Amino acid sequence: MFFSIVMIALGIYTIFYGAKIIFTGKVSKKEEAKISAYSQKGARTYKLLNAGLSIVVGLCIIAQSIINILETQGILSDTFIYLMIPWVIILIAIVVYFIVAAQCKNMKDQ
Amino acid sequence: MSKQKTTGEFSKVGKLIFVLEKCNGKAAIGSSEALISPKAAKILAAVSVILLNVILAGIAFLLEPVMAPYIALRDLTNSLMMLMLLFSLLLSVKNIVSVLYTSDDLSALMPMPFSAGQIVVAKLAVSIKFPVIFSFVIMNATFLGLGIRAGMGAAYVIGTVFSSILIPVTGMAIATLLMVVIFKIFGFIRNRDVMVLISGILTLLLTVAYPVFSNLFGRGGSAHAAMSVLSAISDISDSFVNISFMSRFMFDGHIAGLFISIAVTLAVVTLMMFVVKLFYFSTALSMQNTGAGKKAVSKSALANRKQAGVKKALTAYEAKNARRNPSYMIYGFAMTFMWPLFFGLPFFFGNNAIFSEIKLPFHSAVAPLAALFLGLTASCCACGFNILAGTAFSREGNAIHALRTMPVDFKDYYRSKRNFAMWICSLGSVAYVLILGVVCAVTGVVSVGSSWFFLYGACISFLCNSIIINCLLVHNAKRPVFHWDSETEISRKLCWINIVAIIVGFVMYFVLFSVIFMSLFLDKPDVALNKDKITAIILIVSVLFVIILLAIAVAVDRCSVRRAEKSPAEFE
Repeated sequence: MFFSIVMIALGIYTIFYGAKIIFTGKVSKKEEAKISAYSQKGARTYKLLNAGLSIVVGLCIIAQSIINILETQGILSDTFIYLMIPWVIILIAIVVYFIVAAQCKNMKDQ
Repeated sequence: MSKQKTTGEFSKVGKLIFVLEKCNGKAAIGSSEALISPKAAKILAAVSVILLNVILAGIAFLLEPVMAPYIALRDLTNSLMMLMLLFSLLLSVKNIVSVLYTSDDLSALMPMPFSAGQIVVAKLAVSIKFPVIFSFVIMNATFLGLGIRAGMGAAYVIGTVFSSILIPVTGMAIATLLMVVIFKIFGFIRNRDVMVLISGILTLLLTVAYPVFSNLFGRGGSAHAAMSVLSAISDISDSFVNISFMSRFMFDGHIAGLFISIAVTLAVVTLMMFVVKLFYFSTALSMQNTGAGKKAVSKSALANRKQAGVKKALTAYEAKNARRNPSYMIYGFAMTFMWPLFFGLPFFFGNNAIFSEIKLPFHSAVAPLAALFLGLTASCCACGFNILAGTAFSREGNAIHALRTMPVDFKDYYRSKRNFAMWICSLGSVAYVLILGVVCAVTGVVSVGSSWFFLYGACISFLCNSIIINCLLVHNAKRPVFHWDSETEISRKLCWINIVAIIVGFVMYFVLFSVIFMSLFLDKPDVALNKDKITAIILIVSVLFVIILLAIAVAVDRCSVRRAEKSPAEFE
């Protein structure tokens, strides 16, 4: 139960981080230095990608914690498939992230 | 006319807050850099905050019946208010020091058309923004969720809204009051290096205190235990006038409680403003002009230095260079010697005192394995927490250009750095293993004849130190950072090798305990195992391991000098 609450807090923080990137347009200093050489389009796509990944991962973490809590309370049983869904989504999101992030470097402004 | 003047002053403070936030590098919601239109960003941010409030309130609403049998709502809200006060106090201490004293913007702000009062108000507003928003969101959502489920009245709702603003303001005012008085009275604290030293020591103390107290007062981790801790915090909160009076208003409906709580906050804020007006500017301006203390070089000191060889002289230079800044003292020396406090203390106190399980004297077949993992743990922790090797070349800064012009062989220069780092890390690992061996032999934990295992552990630790330090030195030689703003900036950064070493040390630590538990199992008389055979296998494995480690250490030592020679840190 305690671990699930901690994971929910982590999920909320991750969503906040993603939302912060969208609202302020700023990523971490290290990443800002990395994308400084990118084109405007590449940098924007990279930031959107970061924001999207953070929000998706945050939502999946929360979903998984809620499933765990519901299982602990006996409301849900045999949650293996429910637990696998967020993991699969996270995995797909990470794969998409790496594929698109690699493209960002080569993007050019029109 | 006066209304116009007040509006003008407010707009001036508002502009100054915007400027200060920009200068501090804080990103503003809905700025031109936002990925969506600024207006949409602001609307979405507001909607997100409301949504978060609703979610938190919903969680509190659902949890209320679960918590009700363990703790009364009054105690729960009091303890949460107390925790929020402490949180805002601690957060404000850090913010106040950075915004009021170390931000270096006072000399730029003073000539601007702002009064001293406007500058102070703007600076305080910048530092209080986050605690107030955080408290407003968290307290309102959770308290209202809990209160609605428990069927509380209007006084509870009004009290919640007021306390979500008053508590962080009180915390910030107390923090400011304390900081301004401390900075005025204790002049030495205005030195930034001393400030870093003090904050480092406080962080270390808090980190060490946590495992000690949690083990001393831990009561098994049940729901009852957790709630009894919250009840204890609630009892302490009665001593805080604003919380106890606000609680009376929220739960007993005493209207005077609300006014007294507001009055207390106003009194603290007024006192804080008075103290700031009296002391702040004189103290902050005195911090703008500081310089390093200089000492004349004596002839005898120079004569002594000449007699030593090049490598010794360079090692002495390295030793002096590494002690020049308090932040190096914390992250280069203190952390290397203090790691047993994090790893050892929790297992000596309270419910987790596992050493009480071991039958004395400890003479198991797996003792060489235990010594092996002890040596690895000591080495990984001492080197992992140490920044001396990882910043050895970067620490030179602009002085590297002077060093390059000297007739010094790079190999000697490299070895001087390696020797010094080895000395310090060995004091924090090899010496500890040996001291532990002596203590165990004297107290009878191990027999004197078996205490050679500790020598074996110390040997493993020394070899492992050599490998890690050489890796760290080559890593820094390949990517040295000679241009930095402050020494604190480079002293706090651990490179990936440090982090890997800490993680490996942590894993080795758990393996060490697994081995000790395994020894408890093997030492049982009813275990039908060929103990002589196990002892022989373990001894062979231990000897093989030390031979392999020795070969790796020698190879790494030889290669690292050559690899560092080809790096940007090399002398031209």
